[in-house]
Amino acid sequence: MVTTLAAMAKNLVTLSCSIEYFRLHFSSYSLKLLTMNRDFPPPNLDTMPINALREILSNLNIIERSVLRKVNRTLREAVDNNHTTVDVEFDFCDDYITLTLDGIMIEYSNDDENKCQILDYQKPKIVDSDYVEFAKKDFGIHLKNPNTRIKNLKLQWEYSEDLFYKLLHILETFFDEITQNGGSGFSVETLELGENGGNKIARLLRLIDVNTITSLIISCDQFPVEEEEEFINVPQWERIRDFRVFGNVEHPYTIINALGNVSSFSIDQLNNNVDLTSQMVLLFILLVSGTLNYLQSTNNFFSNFQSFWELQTWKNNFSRLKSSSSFSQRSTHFGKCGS
Amino acid sequence: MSSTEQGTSSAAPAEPTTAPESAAAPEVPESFYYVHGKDKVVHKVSAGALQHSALIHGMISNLGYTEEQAKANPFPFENIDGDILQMVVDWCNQHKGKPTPPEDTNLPKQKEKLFDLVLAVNYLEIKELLTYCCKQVAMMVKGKSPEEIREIWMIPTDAEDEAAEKEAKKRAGKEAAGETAAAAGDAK
Repeated sequence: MVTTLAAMAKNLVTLSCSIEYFRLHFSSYSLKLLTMNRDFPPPNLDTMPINALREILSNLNIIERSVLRKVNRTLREAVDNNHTTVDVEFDFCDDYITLTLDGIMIEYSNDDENKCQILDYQKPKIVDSDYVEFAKKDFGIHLKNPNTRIKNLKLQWEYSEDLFYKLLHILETFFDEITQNGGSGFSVETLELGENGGNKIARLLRLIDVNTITSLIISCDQFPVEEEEEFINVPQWERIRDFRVFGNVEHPYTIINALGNVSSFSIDQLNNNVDLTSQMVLLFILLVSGTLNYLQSTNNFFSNFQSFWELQTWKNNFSRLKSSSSFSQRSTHFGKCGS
Repeated sequence: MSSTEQGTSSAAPAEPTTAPESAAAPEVPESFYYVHGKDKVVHKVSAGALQHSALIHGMISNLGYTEEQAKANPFPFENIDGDILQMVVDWCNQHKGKPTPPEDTNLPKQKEKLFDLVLAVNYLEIKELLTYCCKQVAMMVKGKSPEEIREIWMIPTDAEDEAAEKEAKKRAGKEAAGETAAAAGDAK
């Protein structure tokens, strides 16, 4: 009898402990209990727990997420509260614009007067709107989520002034919206531009959030990069750690002298500037290997340099790079010339 | 636990309906735990299978249950339907001690069942199964327009939502006013 009573008491203690544990433990899951309660609407896409919604969103691309945004307020909030990264390519051509988001291309073309034909991964459609305006609207919708970060923003406009200003108009419209909402510009990590004019590069660079930009890639296979001083003087340039140029540079010294914080740079030049680039590569290697001072005494080796002052500037610049703690991680590629 | 014993979740289960044991005979005797859902049907699950659920695993570690105590006190999950809990238990048993495959094709195709499963799995904190379920839900969303999504899942538009909210507020206001009036009448 005593044994039975003791066992019952033990069971009671265990049970009360269990109940207490469940009470305490489940209090932290009150939100979950809410979602599990049958008095609430049946489980649905817009009543999913936030963990599940986040997981669902991670399986959708930016276009699908934009579609989900349009369903209702709950889903819009879920999409907007979810941090996402995307690669964006905006290509402006004479009669059409292509917007590529994470490799999914949408083409907006001038089908008829004031009509826009849209070709995307689903089905082609024609809308009663100007194609530039429609591309602008779509770009805005896809990047409406304030927590979207653009990993790579590639902009091209066939070196045409007219197309550049169309693109700039679109970007500036959204830039104004972002700054009005307290942002500092487009959250872009890498800006890739098909342009040679320093002024235009600077104007686009200024639209990027100074806290997010880390890389700048300039592709100019037709004309050499000019007016470099325009873009090396914008605040965003100071934040660039990786700088690449594919094409010619009119005054490479200007860029080289302004490398400052740039830890990785490459200038992939065409053959017409090979001699200069070879010297730059050689100088860099010599400096790293510590034989520069010795060779400097044999003045004729550097006879091709424009002046002794220029040599000193280069030397100081490279010394700064060398003395930096992350020097071992730096890489210098001179594309065709290096090979 | 038989249906006659419903509501006595703390009582010892008479005969668990399912007893999925591990196929390979373990060297060390494996401990088993018991769970039941809304239908009070008790499921016997090995500790190894329950490792998948962070919630149950946490409960076991914190309670320090012996096998007898666990048998006497099955974990109650009153908010999970019996068939859904069965699915979860089966999945845990199937994937016990195994690396989870990249895809799971044995998930329910019906959206209602799938959504119930998502809720249960999220509640029980079974990360891998949640990933599979959510992937399947995402596949259902892919390629649909906002209108199609609304239609398939019967999601109200913002306007409909707002109208329903207003209506609910109005009704709540009226009920509150009625109660106040009744209370005033009683006081007189």
